[in-house]
Parts: sequence; structure tokens; C-alpha cells
Amino acid sequence: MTDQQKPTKRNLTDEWKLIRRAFGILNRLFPNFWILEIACTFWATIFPYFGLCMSSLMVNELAGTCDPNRLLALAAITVCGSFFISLVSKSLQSKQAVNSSFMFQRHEAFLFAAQSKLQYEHLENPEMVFARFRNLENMSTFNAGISAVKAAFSRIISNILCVIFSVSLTVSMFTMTAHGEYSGILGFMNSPASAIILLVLIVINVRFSIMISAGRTNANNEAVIAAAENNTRHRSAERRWGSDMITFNLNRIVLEEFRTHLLRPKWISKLEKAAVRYNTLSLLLNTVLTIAVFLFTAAKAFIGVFGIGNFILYQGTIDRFVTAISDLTAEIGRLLHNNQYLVQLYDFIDLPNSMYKGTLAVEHRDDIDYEIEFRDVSFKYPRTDAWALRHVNIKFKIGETLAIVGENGSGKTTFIKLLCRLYDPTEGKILLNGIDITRYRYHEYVELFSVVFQDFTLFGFPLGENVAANFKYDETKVRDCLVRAGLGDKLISLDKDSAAEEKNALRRAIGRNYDSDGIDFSGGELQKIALARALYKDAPFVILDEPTAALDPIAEAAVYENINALTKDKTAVFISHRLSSCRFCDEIAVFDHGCLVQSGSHDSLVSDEAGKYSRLWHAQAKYYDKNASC
Amino acid sequence: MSRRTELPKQKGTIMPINNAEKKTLGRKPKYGMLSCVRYTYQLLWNTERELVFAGIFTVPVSLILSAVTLYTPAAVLSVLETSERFSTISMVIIGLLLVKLLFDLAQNLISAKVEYAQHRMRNQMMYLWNSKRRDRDWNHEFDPEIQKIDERSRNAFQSTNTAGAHFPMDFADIVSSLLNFLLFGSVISLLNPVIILLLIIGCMLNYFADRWKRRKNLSEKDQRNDLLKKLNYSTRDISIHFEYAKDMRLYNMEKPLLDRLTHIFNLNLDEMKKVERRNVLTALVSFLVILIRDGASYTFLIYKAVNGEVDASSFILYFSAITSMSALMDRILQILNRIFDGAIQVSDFRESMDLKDHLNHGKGIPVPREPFSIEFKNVSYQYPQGEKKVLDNISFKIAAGEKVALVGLNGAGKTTLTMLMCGLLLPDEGEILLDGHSLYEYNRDEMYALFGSIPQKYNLLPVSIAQNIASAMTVDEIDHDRLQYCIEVAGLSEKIKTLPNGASTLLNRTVNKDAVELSGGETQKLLLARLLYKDPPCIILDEPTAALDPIAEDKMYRNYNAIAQNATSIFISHRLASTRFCDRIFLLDGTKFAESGDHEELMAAGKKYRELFDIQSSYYRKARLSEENDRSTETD
Repeated sequence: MTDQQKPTKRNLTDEWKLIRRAFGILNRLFPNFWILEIACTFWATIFPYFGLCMSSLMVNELAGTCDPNRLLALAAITVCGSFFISLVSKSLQSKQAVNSSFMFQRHEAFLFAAQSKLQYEHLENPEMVFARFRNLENMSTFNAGISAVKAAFSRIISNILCVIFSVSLTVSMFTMTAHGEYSGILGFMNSPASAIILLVLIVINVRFSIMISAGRTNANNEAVIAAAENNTRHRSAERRWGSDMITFNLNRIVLEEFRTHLLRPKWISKLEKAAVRYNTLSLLLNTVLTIAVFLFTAAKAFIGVFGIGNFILYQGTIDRFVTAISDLTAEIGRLLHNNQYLVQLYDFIDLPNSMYKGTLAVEHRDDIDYEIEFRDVSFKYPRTDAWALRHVNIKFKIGETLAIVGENGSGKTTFIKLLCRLYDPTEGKILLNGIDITRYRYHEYVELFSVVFQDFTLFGFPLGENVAANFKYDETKVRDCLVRAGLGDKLISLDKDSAAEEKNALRRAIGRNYDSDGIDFSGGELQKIALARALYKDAPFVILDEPTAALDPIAEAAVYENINALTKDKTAVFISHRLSSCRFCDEIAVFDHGCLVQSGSHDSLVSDEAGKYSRLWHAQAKYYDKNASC
Repeated sequence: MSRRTELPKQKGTIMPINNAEKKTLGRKPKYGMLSCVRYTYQLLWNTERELVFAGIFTVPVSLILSAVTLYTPAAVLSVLETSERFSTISMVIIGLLLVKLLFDLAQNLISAKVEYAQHRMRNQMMYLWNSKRRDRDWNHEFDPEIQKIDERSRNAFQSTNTAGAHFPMDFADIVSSLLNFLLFGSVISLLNPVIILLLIIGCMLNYFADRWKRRKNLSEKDQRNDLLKKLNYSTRDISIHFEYAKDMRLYNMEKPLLDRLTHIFNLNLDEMKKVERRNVLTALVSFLVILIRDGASYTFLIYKAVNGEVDASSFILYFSAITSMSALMDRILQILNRIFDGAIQVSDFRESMDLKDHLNHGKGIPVPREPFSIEFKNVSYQYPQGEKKVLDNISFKIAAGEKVALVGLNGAGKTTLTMLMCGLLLPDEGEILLDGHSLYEYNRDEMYALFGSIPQKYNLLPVSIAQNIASAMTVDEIDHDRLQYCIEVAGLSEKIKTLPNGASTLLNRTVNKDAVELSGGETQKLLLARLLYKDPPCIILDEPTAALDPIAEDKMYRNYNAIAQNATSIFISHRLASTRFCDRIFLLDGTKFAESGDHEELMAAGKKYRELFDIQSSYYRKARLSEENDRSTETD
């Protein structure tokens, strides 16, 4: 974590650019938030000044002529004014609360939209996963990043308003002097020299306040970094949960981690010391200034420059002025510090997309005649030196079934990833109907494929939406696909589920992550749902990566028996470790160490006894030979 | 977020939804208020004693401070109005401000201590809670009641408002508020005691308005939490887990997902608007109370001032006494509320800390060192959440050192059976005997140590590879020769040679920057090494070949004999091929054992096992037949 936090040198223009971009993002997430923010802050800031002014006027009147009518009028203005201001300010605040609600969720949604445009390669890069988590952590734990810019905006506005109000109310304090001769200290107080000294005191105070708040911000930032590390550790430790934690006695390691890193973290005591130090300093500083202001205003009130009411006013406003100035500088300091988190965010959403963006439309032919060809395709994963695929040449036409077999790590899944354009080949070309696939529009190209990956994912959303991969769906079609995927019985039992509120099985959520009333499907059922999703898409190419891994023998057999019905008129590509399933395929491609080493029908491959396929086949088949003994 | 191991395959882990605002009103806590306060103070005394003392010292300090703050403006105004000499005025001003400074400093010290002590207290509670939860019997994991307790008790330290840590300051606050109440009350009584009564009425109005709001909000809390859960899932969960990305791209799901998100977002916004409307309404009540209060007190004070009964300085004094008084009353109510809420949280926390375990945590009979027998006598089990029994009246005996295969359809209860075997689940009926003794007779941890597995859902820790293999808390615990041997046998030595730090290389890149990521195959090997290192007398292998290619699968079967050489072993698999290496096969069907025996016996019996085997082998055999046909045609 720490090496990311190194302060980088940026000039002010760059800093400003970073903030302005954050502002733009904010304005997209919270339309026109700044108008409301300014209105809100204005009324909230003016409130105490209004009170101060009114009470000083009232005290002046009390100490002066004490006219009951004027006093009552002042009281009425004070009370009604306060009521009005608080009401306006509260209703604005409430509007603002709605408008700026769900900051975290909006931020995550923003990142979601941004990352769905990223090149797929980045999403398999552990560095990027780390970066994504860091952005989440920045926001959720430290409110750093764009949320900090938003918070800083309203505080900066508030402090600026404070400064303006304070200055306009205190100018009279310095300008008003009494006519007449005073000796000693009173004379000095009445002279312009005292005003200058007071001003100098204020300036010194502001200067020191800035230093103090800078020190405090520094201490906080250090703590934040340490806390971030602790947090990540804690989260990660908390996730280690399962029965092997018990049988292997691993919980004690987790607890040991907790004890060493989290129980009495150093950053807390450091922060405590810093808090005491800086609070003491600013208390001392403020007391000196308060005494000076008290004496100065008291002297002027004493010699009758202004009423004693002003005494209250000045004392209150100067206090606010000093705090506002030091807060303002602290705020700006924090905003600049926050820029490093903005950089992390921008670095993530600005990741380069080097995939070639094609513009050709994919022809939707009625005669569904597509042909795919791998022409001397080689591929290396980014950041690796080994070839995952090497010189692969293969051609397959619509209507054929192709099985891909090979050992773990032989390049089978990579082959699928290239075919689906999750990655572009390092060398060679993949052609669709003779045209390089990179030249087609991506969204249209992937429409050609119904894929069930080995590590497929389903969302916690309702079943129907999952099968249709869409928010809206055709209910009959969804049901039909589920039945074809072998979930007909489950569907009937769910529709009859008396315990559930929602009677329509398609509207029930999958799992309980999204909806607590969701259904816990078994691994095999989930695999069938994924299959139904592929069927619903009804694309010309069906790609199944280990479609039966989670199924028991009977369910597995059912899938294979149906497979031809499932994929009629389609090109089906299978990956399977259970070679028995490959027998149905027109062609079998055998991969070994990234190379296509054999291809042909099952019968021809198995008869080549020196070949890879034969070895794989016999490794498995021998266990099912009735005559073999243990 | 606690997850049941039985949950279906869902990618990634879910993070807890922040339920900090989940107030606990309207539910009767298990422990009483006083008992919770006592419990908290005991905890504080043992862990953060400073907090207890801070709660005592803060009372006089805050009392004097509020007195000084109340009197300073009035006193200064009064000397200004009456004194003849400026030096007197200066002395009064400087004196008062210095006294204030002194006590401000004291309070500053106390509050800094308190803030960070509360933070440490929070960590402390988190630690206690975690160590309890990680030490309790595993069967609790499946009990929905206990899941609820977990969820509730977690709130005790989820927000910055740690349960109970604020008690000392709250009590101090109440004491000093009451004393302040007397101070301000006496000031106001001088003026007119009726004012106090009126202030109390105003305060009650505020209180009831606030209570109305809280009740309304509370009644919709579940609905709001549900919606928030959905929103969090639709924003954070699907976005943070990149595993979703592949399917998202290939099914062009970006737009539909954003549509769904917008839909859920708007529902949440509507709820929020409702809450905010209530906020404005209650605020309106309090503003009206203030309007009347201030209007009345000004009129009254002006009347007095015009009659010469109060001067400017007392005017200020009285007015601030009145406003402070009503603030004080609001505050006392607020703190009482906080203490009650806190007590409920503490009660929830205790409930989880006091959870009773069933297995023997004390001294048990000596555990077997050698492979031992396992016997089930009429065992039945049903998951607390389940609709029907998973196992019904099952009896069997596995002899010491026997190798058993457990086969059956999905959901037949194979994993459940092995969990019962090693005490991770406890049977509803019947008895389980290990080496002839009930598993309740052994010390739980010693009993757990008898078993080892390669689980489907495994955990690797963010410590070194060596520590993971040896399950070692510290480096000193590792037996390095044994470690080397296990790395060798598991086939991990090649990978480890490529690492600059060898076996000391850390795992988990989210925590350790220079950690290594292992591939799926390497992870499997590491898990195997971990099992070898432990070398337990009983081994359980749950679907270890599901993701393996034929050659690796074949190798695994052949290794199996070596791994299970000196152990009783149970092998769960869909692939019936695995059964060939086992002495006996148990076929689970429904809630019962359908069949048991060795491969030949079961094949001869011609029942379910045979059916399964035939289905699975048919394709291989058909191939063989066609091969033979090919050959015969060739020879013809």
C-alpha cells in the first residue's frame, strides 16, 4: 500500500485539472448539486451571524435608551428571522440530502459503467483487481476520492462565506474611534496603532492556525495510510471462513494476525498524541487572540466608541473569522492531498484500450452460414513469456460439433477466449467468413456466441432476468429454455412453493446476495441455468466449457443425450475432461502445450495409439472397463 | 459476512452491508439494562481502564466549563457597565479567560483520550467477537437463529459508535447535565420558576415529534434495508467482482444491468424522500417550539428590563440560561436513549459471546494415534433451515484403516455425512463413535486434529507458503524437513524453486504487495501438501478430481493410495472410477444408504450403483466396442 502513497510533484495547474475533472464527474452523478450546495451553505452560514447581530443590537438598545417598542420589534425580528432561516435551511438541506444520497453506490455504479468499457485483459490482471479494491477502500473507508471533493466544496463555500460575513461585520471595529483625549492604555487602545497591532495578532494567529491544521492533516494522513493497511488485512482475514479453518486449526493464525496488526495499532496512539498536541496549541493561540480582542473591544466600549452590544458581536465574529481562515487553508490542503486518490481513480478508469475497434456490421444471414477460421494464431497472455497458444490453424463451419480436449493448461480455454474476442491474438488472425474478426463491431460479433464458461457467473437477480440476460424477458421462452436445460421439475416445484410470497419462479432471485428471499440453487442447478441462458440467446455458435462438471452421472447423461437437440443447426464447441462426451462430436481437436496436436473424429484419433488423445482416453476409460480389476 | 459452506457456487465474497443505523428498538433484549452496564464496565476495566477514569474526571471539568461559559459574557458586560476603572475590567476579562483556558486544556486531554480509547475498545470487541466466533462449534454455522445473532451482535462494533464504549462518558454527561440543570434552573428560578415548567413542555413536544419519526422510520426499516441490500448488490457487488465481466461482455449485459440498477436506485430514492419529509416535519415542530420559547422569553425579559428589574448583562445571562436549559433537557433525553440503545447492543454482543457449545471443550479421553474405526448408529440429520432430513437413521461402521468411497447423486448428503463424522455437524438423533467412543467424549480440538481433508471450499491465509502448508502460526512451529518432504511429494517443488523467497514467499496480493498468485493447479498441490504435512489418521477427500484433466485425474487416483496409506479414508466423487481404489463403496440415495459393498459386489447386485456405473461407462465402452469393431473389420 505504502509505495502508492508517495507524494508526486504536480504543479498547481495539474492539481486544478484533477479537481475540475472530479467536479465534472460529480455533476454527472449528482446533477446540479453545486447550486443546491451553495444555497444550503449560504443559509446555514448566515444563521449564527444573524443571531449575533440581533443580540448585539438588542443589548445596545438595553444598555441605551431601552425603548420597549423598539426592543419588542428587535425581538420579533430575531425570533421570526431565526425561524425563517432555520426552516429554509432545513428544507434545502433535506432536498440536498436526497440529491446527494447514496454517494458510495453512485460511485460504484460509475466505476461499473467505466470498467465495462475497459479492455477485458485488465480485468484479469491482479494489479487491476488490486487497484479496483483500493478505489473502493478509498471511498468506503476514508471518504477519499471524488466524495472528498464534494464534501470539500461545501466546506470551502461555507468558510468563504464566513470570512466575508465576519470581515463586513468587524470593519467598524477598527475604523471607529472616540473623540477625546485618553491617557495610558485607553489612549493606546483608541489610537490606530492598537488596531494595527490587533490586525497583526490576527494575521499571526491565522498563520499559526494554518501551520497547526497542516500538521494535523499530516498526522491524519499518516494514520489513514496505516489504517488502510489494517483495514485490508482485517477484511481479508475476516473472509477466511470455512470448515478447513477448523480442521487445520487455521483460526489461530487469523487471530494472531488480528492481535499483531489490529488490536492496539500504533497509528491510534500516534493520532491521539497529535490530537492533544495540536488542540493544545490552538487553544493557547486562540486564548491569546480572544484576550486581545476582549480587551480591545472592552476598552472601546468603555470609552463609548460603540455600545456594549457590539462587544458581543465583535468577539463572536473574530472568533469565527480566525476559525474560518484556518479551516479554509486546511480544507485546501486536504483537497490537494486528496488528489492522489483522484489520480488512482483516473488511472483506473483511463486504462488504455488497445483492442482494435471494428466498424463492420455482422451479417445476419437467413441461411445462417458462418465459417470461423483460425489462421496461424499464436497468443501470449500479457505479462507472460510463455506461449499459451502456438501456430493454431483450425476451421469450422456452422452445423458442426467440435470438441476440444487436452490437459489442464494446454490452451483450451484460451482458445475460447480468443474466439470470443476477450483477447486479440498476438500473432495470426481469426477470420469470420474470411474477414478478420477484429474488423467487426464488438457488440455485434459477440451476438454470434452462446457461451457457458467453466467459471460462469449468474447474478443474484431474478431467475427470468438471468436466463434472458436482460431486464425484460419473454416468459414463455425463458420457461422453455429452462425446461430444455433440464430444470422443468424444479420450475414446477418452485411455482408451487407455498412458503414463498412470490409465486412465479422466474421472479425469484438466485441466491440470497441480492434478495434475502432468493433461492439457493445447487451447483448442478446453477450450471443448468447457465445452459438455459445460452439457449435463450439462440446464437449460431454454442460454446460449452465443462458443461457437466458439477452434474452427477444421471444428469450428465441427460445433458449429453440432449446435446444434439440443444444445438441443432448450430455450431457447438465443447471443452470437456470427460472424454466420453466428445464422442458425439464431428471433430475433436486435441491441444497440448498450446499447440493443436491432433484433430479428427473420435474413432480415427483413438486408433492412433501413439497420439495424445489415445493416452487421455485410456487414462480415463480403463476405470470403466468391466473386466478390469482394482 | 458469514457464509454457509453449503451455499451454491457464487462468485466472490460478499461484504457486510453496513447496518449501523439498524436501531434495535421494539425487541426485547436478552439481558437487562443494569446487567449490561455491569458487563460493559467489567470489560472496560479489563481492557480500557482509562475510559472509566475519564468518565469520572470529566464531570467537574465540564461543570466548571459550562459555568464559566455561562457567566463570562454577563460578567464582562456587568463590569463594563459598572466599573470605573479599565484595569479592573482587564483583570476580570483576563482572569475569566485564563480559567476557561485551564479547563479547556483539561477537557481537551480527556476527550482525546476518550476518542482513541473508544476506538481501541472497538477493536478489542471485534477481536473478542471474532475469537469467540472462530472458536465455537461449527454446527452453529447452519442455524438461522445463530446467523441472526451474529448479524445483530456484529452491530455492536460495526459503527464508530461502539456498543458500551460510550457508557462512561454518557453517565458523566447525565450527571453533569443534571448538575447543570440545577445551575441553570437556579438562575432561571430567580426570574420565574414557571419558565422551567414551560421549557419541560417544549422539550416533551420535541421528544414526541422525534419519537413519532423514529417509530415511522423503524416500521419501514426492513423494507429500506432490503432495498439497500439490493442497491448495494447492483452497484458494488457486481462491479467489484471482475469474475462477472466475461459473461457480462458475451451476453451484452451492460445496459440491462444499468437498467436494473436505475430501477432499484429510484425505489431507494423514494424511500429516502419519505424519510426526509419526516425529518423536515419534526424539524418544523422543534423550530416552532423554539419560536414560541424565544418569543416568550424575550417578551418577558424585555418587560422586566423596561421595568428596570434586569440590566443588559443579566438579560444576556437569563436568555442564555433559558436556551441552554432547553438544550440540556433535549440532551438528557438523547443520552438516555443512547444508553438504552447501547444496552441493547451490548446485550446482543453478550448473546453471541455466551453461545453454548455442545462438544467437549474440556479434558477428554486420549485420542487415537493410529487409524481408527468410525461408526454411525442410527444417525439422522436435518439442516435447521432444511425442509426434510438429509440423512435418516443411518448405521454403518468403517474399520480402522479402511478406504471408503462415498457416491451418490447431487444433494444426496455425501458432504453432510463426512461433516457429521468429524464433529463439524452434530446428529439430531443417533450416535457417532470414533474408535469406539462417542465423539462427545474427546476434547473437541484434539478430535478435530484427527481429520484432514482437501475441501471444495478451501482457505489460504495471507502468510507464507510454508506457514500455509504447516498450518503454523509462527515460523518456529514449522518442521522444515517435513515441509520439504511434503512439498516434494505434492509436486510443488518446481514452482517453489522459481520463487525468490522460496517457501517463505507470502500469499494473497490484496494484503501483501510482493505476494505470489498461485494457479488453480498449484493451489490444489498446496492443499495436498497441507494435508500431507498434517498426516492425520483419517482423511476426507471431497471431489478432488472435479477440475482435473484425465491424466491428472489418473495420477490423483494413483497418488491416493500413497496419501491414504496410513489412514482411514473417505473419498467422495461423482466419477465412479474412483471407487475402484476403495475397499468399500457406500451409495447414498435419498436419505438412506442404498447399497454398500465393494465394486464387484455392487455390480453383481445390479441395482442403482450398476445403473450409475453403466451410464457413466457406456460411452467409454461404446467406444471400445467400436474400436474393436474397427479392428475386427481390419482383420477381416
